[in-house]
Amino acid sequence: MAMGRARKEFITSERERLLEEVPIVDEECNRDFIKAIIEMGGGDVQVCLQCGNCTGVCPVSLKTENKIRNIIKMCQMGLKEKVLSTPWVCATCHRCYEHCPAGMNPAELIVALRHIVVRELGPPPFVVSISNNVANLGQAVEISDEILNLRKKIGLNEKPFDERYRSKAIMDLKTIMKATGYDKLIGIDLGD
Amino acid sequence: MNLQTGAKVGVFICKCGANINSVVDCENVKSYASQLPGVTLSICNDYLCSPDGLMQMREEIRKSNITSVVVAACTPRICEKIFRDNIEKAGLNRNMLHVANIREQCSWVHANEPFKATEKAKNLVKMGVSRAKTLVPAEGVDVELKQEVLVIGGGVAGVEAAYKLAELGFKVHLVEKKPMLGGNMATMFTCLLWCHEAPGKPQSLNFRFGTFPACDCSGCTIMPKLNDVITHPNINILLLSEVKEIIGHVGNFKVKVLKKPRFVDEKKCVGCGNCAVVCPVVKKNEYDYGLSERKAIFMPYQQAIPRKYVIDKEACLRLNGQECSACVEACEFEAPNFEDREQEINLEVGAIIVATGFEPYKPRIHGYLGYHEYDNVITIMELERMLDKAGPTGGIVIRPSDGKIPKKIAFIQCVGSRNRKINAGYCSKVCCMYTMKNAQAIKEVHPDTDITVYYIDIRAVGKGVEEFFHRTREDYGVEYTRGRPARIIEDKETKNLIVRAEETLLNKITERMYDLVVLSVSLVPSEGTQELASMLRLRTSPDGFIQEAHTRMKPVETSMEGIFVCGCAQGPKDVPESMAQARAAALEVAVLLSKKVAKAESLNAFIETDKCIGCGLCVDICPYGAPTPVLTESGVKMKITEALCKGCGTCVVSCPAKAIHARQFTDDQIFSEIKAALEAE
Ligand code: SF4
Ligand code: SF4
Ligand code: SF4
Ligand code: SF4
Repeated sequence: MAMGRARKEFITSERERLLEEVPIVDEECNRDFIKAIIEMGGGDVQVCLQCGNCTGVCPVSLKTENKIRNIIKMCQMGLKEKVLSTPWVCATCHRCYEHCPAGMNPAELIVALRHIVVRELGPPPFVVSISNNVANLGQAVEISDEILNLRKKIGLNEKPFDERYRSKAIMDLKTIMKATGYDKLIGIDLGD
Repeated sequence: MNLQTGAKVGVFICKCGANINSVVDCENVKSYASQLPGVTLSICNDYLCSPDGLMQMREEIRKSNITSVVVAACTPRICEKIFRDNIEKAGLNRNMLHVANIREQCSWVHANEPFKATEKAKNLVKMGVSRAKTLVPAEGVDVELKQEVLVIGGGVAGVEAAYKLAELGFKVHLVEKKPMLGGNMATMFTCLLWCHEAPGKPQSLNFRFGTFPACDCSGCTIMPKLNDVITHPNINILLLSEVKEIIGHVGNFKVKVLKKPRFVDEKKCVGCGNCAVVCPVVKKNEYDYGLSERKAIFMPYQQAIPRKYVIDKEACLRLNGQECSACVEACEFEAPNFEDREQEINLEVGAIIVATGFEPYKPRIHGYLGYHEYDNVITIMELERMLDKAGPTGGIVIRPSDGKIPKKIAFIQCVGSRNRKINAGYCSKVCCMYTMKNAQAIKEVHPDTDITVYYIDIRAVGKGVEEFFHRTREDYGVEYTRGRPARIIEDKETKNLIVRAEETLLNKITERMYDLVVLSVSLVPSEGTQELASMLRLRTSPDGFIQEAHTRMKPVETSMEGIFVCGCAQGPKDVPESMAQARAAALEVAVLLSKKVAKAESLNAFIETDKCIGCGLCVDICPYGAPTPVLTESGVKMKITEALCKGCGTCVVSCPAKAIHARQFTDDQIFSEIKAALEAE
């Protein structure tokens, strides 16, 4: 918001309209959320001292509004809805874990949150498409036609891998996905 | 079963206000107890351990000719002694008591199930009554108390305790590992006197900077005390000494002390330092954390007490087979003495005070704060030495990399503490304040320095300390930023340091440049604490400090009778608290020893000599060294020294001949309880 405008509106005593920040109220604080996180392997968020060391080492936090420490704070307060609807990104590099003096593992917390989201709100579309790729192609990203054509043009094998080993690996992957119920959880069809 | 004939058991149930009665139905327990066989009397009281409760108990015992007593109350750890004393006053033998714990074991743990808690309380009382009938009178043993005391550690706490006891007339042996007294406190010489002479103007004439919050020079304040101690006729000071072995028990500990050679005659040396001038060997001075150099013959720091030189055995040429007698020639008083040898000193003392103190945490070699890699990252102790006018830098703060005066300084809090990763989850308690003190001191010496403190939480409690924190920020303009730094990066050329941290209150990552970074390191137990604790059979808490017997009620006692603890050996604390604890420990020792003879509770085990086959298993297994072999007419048999035995029962179960019995837990007594527990209603 441009400063000028904000000031003007403020002066014209439309103060209420400017207060975008809504106070957090008791109803939003669901302390059972802490237990759910522990059950999913995220550890006890109550050990966090809010010292900020994890944010300082996190390669992602510099680029996101909600730092990893903020996510932990929200979890401590049990702000389930807020956490689940907040954009958070984590590279699972575990740097935060190496540095945390309290013995918290924020990376594992994020994994636990992913579990909770997938179960309660369903998987995000990109997860479904990536899972589909892995199950059917054996890799997360499909090789583009452009690359395949280029390979052909310069005289390479059309596919950069050996189809025989690959189909065996895909079969194994599908077996694992079925056995663990991953296919049902994410909602992908693995055929028979 | 070995029953007292015609035992008359009195059951006394304590309601402990609502503490027991709100869960356990005490009246119900009372009427249940009254019909148990052998019970003559069963009564409830609101607070049995109150003067009224105790008086009622004594009256009832006398009136009804009670022979043994069951008290149903809180844990025997708290109340047993009180009730033993009380039944003794009522004319019973103090051994005729059983305590059933219906608070910790009933009302507290089963608070949600009052019915079951009451049933359990009834059962515990029933078992107690059954055991009470098997109790036999026993007398404690008399222990003669030696009127000498051993104090281990010559820091502020040890020195204070030693001094107070010596003043009371006890002979005190003060053992210190280092060549001088005063410990860590005596190395902090930051005071107003030199502020005037140092570059920059002092902002206030009323400030001294030794230890917070009064900030008078700690070295100067401890010095008079040290002088009193070294001249006290009742104190035997053993420097460069370590305790090697302790056996015995309260009243009579036999101690072996190893005194290392100083190679300088303490009686002859006047501390002139002529020797050090000529000594050709140059080493880094560990007492200045490597900031200065010293010779092979040296004084740890200028104000060391006693002012006696010492020769470093490893560094001295002569002691390593080379030709050199420079110091001998330079010394007018013939003090250097290369014939000095290690001595073993044997002491016999009645009580021991452990005051081994702390040492500053040493940052890890591969620590992320770069202490070992970057010249300009130092610890608080190095800063303390710099701020000493007689110290390595003459009282000014410099950057080790180039000797320049830093303009921007960062302090980093909680280095080595509040860190579960390195098994140090505890707060060191004093670091917030010593940082404030040193930040103020720097501003006094170099007023145009910018100082930033990186902290997680500020813990400024205690008299005058919050105000001290405000002064640091308001009067001295020290900036506080909340966040534990993530990384320190050194600029290779300038040797400046970039500190990256989240300013958690702003939700922003910051990267700021400093000339000098000071790590506010924690207090860790001094080296050898663990070994000493196991030698003395003391418990240590998970943080490695010595565990007191009871946090609130027995703060300077330890798990071993006759051994006390004070100062930072027990946990991080500041000087006033160390002083208070030292005096408390001295008082406890005085109270103990002034009795001259002590009666030990008859809690011990004894050996039926006829049954003993002399296998010696009990000797090996006893954690307190109580059983010893004695030669009798029928061969070697074991005997238990009752004053040493704690009645733990370990030997009892290990004895293959079933020759050992614990007086308070004979088979009869235990089986009587078990039978009562299993009996159908
Ligand atoms: S694991 Fe995730 S939260 Fe932790 S530092 Fe790496 S990216 Fe950041
Ligand atoms: S580093 Fe650990 S204690 Fe500090 S904010 Fe992150 S999770 Fe919490
Ligand atoms: S004899 Fe040893 S202490 Fe004395 S001057 Fe020579 S090297 Fe130094
Ligand atoms: S009861 Fe324990 S302390 Fe006593 S002699 Fe046996 S093992 Fe040692």
